[in-house]
Amino acid sequence: MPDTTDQVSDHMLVASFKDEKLREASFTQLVRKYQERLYWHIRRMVIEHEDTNDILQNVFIKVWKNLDDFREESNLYTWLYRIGTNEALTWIDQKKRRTSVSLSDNEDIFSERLHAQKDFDPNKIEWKLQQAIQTLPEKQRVVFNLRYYDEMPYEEMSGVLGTSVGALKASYHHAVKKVQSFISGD
Amino acid sequence: MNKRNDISIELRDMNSVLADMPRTMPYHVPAGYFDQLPDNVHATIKNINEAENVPAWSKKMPYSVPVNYFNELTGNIIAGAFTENADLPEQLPYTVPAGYFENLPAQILAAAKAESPAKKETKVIPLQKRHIFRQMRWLAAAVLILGIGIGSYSIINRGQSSTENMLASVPANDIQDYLQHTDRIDVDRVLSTDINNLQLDNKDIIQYLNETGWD
Repeated sequence: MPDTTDQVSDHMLVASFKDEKLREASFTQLVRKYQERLYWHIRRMVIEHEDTNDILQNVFIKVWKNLDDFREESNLYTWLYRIGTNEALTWIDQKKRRTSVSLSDNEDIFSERLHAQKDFDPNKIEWKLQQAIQTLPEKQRVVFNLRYYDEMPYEEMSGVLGTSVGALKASYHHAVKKVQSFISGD
Repeated sequence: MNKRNDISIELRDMNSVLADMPRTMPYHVPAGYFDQLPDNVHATIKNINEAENVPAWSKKMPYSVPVNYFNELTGNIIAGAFTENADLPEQLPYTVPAGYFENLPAQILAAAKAESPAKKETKVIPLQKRHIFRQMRWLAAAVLILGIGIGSYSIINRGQSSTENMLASVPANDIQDYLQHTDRIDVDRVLSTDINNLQLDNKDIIQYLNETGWD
């Protein structure tokens, strides 16, 4: 999570991006700074590397096109995560429509993708956890991932998802219970 | 990290086993992926910019169109549609049940009666009687016209003959006396008089003309 130093650094990135001569260099620096965090945030949603790469590229292209208009009313980090989350959720919606599946069938599709991953082992806790997370509804999945893996404060998460802090806390609480129930085989 | 501890504490507060689980991602990432990602993103952006910056090629079509083509197009299409239909058979392909038209009037009448049974029956005048009635009407009209004609003629003739009858009734001697005592017109005097010096009123002229029958 960005601390004060990080925020200054983000501000410098945004300011230098607006300078034509420094644009490419500042953008490269921005990509290097946030690529892994955004990558894993998206991959936890869509599972496969190729799809993650496509979505991530789209995210950074949007950043390139819109960073000039970014007014820094929120953290750069929050803004980037918001774009990443929306792109991933949009991709999942399109995927569902293309395959014409119901919500319950959706769990099976992503379960299949999970099973197809390299080194997949349902006996290992990290794979089991991923299976458990895939049973969550999409938005709840995002809440769980942002809190559990990215350790995002609820206030920041509220900026990313446009949901109140109280609702996010409740959602995370329910997500934890479901994941736990899945892992313990209840 | 404080945040990690916060998350762990939160999970412990929920009595969740997740508090002690390793938070590692089991997914595989291709080697060198993150090292190459910034350059790949730049290349993608460059391709997009090139695609958006299409050269300002001329949008003018090099093909020629016959003169008045578009003006006549609508008419040609419509004419073509009629021409296409010219070979179509005039007869409809539908079949009609046998005896349909013969029975139709009776059916319609029956249906009409069934719908309004309380209606009075329309008076049906036999064709022959209708014919005589029509003849009598024409006769009455002829008599009327004749009567008007004869009456008008007699009124006109009465007016005309009365004047002649009146003249005929005047004795010849009276007519002769009248002519003798009337001042003779001095023709020479009339001819020598300059018409322009005559002080005549228009009314007098008009009256004279009316009396002598000039229009």
